[in-house]
Amino acid sequence: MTATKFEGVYDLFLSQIDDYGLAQSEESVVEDVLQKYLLNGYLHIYSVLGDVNLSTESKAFSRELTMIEKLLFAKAMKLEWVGEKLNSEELMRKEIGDRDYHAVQGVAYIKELRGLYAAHSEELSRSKIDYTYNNEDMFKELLN
Amino acid sequence: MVNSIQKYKSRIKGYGDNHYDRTLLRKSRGFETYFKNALNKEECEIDGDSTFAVFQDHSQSNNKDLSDDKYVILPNSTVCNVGSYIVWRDSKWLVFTEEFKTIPTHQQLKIKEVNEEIRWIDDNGKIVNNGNGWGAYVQNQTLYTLGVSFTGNNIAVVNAKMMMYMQDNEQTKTLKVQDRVFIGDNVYNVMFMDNVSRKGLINYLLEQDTISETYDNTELRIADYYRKKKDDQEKEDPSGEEIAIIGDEKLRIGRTYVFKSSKDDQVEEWIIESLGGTTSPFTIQEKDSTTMTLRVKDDARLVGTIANLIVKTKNSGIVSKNLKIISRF
Repeated sequence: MTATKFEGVYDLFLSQIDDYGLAQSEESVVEDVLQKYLLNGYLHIYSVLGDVNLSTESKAFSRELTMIEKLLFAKAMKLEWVGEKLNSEELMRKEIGDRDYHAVQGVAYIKELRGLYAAHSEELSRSKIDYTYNNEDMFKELLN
Repeated sequence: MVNSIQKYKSRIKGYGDNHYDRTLLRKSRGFETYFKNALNKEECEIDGDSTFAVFQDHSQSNNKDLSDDKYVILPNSTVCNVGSYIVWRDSKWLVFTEEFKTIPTHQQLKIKEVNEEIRWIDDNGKIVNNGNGWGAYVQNQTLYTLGVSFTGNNIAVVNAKMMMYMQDNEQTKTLKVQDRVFIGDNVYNVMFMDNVSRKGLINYLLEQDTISETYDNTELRIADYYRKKKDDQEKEDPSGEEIAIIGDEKLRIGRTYVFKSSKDDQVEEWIIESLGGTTSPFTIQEKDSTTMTLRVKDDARLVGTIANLIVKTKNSGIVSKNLKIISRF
């Protein structure tokens, strides 16, 4: 049994977003950012995947993950990604506009982001519940 | 590792990898969707090339120009400029303005319907544009004079004015101030031309002129038709001038002389006219289309007579030569 590499999860995560800011960065930077999302995202799902450990040195999980588990990690990363945008202090600053153009302040954007974050959070909890129901190991004592 | 990030980067490039590119691409795609599905998209011909364009109605409430203007919307790939002719639904239209789009996703132009084909004869003696003439947008500019002005107390003179737009091209440029053209059933004089105010178009101001029965062709509605045709014929006849009559100018009485044209077989008629006396001082012995032989009568009274040898050429040119009769020795 080979341990799953982080990259297997990054691929799933990247397919869900279209962030051009990320695409413009250097590859080593992108890799650091992705790892940060993964580590922070672990917080959201450790309750159901407690037996999995993450090694930043070998850039791999402690065991082989099923596809469902990989998708859970990717979803957790996406929630982190939205959360990072939400925490941007820049969006709350007042933009300077003049007669020739209309400046849009990011506050309205934050409102939308908050809704998006809540929806993603909800979706992740739903997935976690589904995952546990399908994982017999977690409640086999109850069956006996 | 590198692999999945590279794949991501190339995918994002397709969407546009910055805010500007993305918004512009979205806008262009929006236009493509609109153009594909527009109900008012129709086939037309722009400067002779068949293509599709969207024709949009323009407010009819602004009808001070007495015309039904339309907007034409085109993708950037179609070539169309101010002054282009568009054939749409069997009528011809002239492009008047082109909007400089601040966001260049497509082109928008304003067209007016062509209401007159202007024909005139160019320097080569041909009707312009292969006999079709050029489409013009003509509007009446007659003001308070009601088309008539008075010279003195009694003479009324036509005084209507017209304004006309045509495509700015090599042929329309040749129309000059004081040239005459037919608009409707009347003849107008070009008084002013301007091809600067609206690049691509020439603006003409015209004043009504009287129709000349001699020069204007009212059936074809081409002014100065016969004047220019006549000029042509004179130009087409350069050979008449080239013929020269070879022979003596001073003729002695009682002798025979031969006159020859410088070109063979060009003479239609040899005519000799002499002043004074009822009988001709010559007897013509032989003549054909190249030479003539004549003999001066042996009569001393003829000395000093002046005669004119006139040659009519086959293409109706005329050449003459002065002859003088002198004494025998």
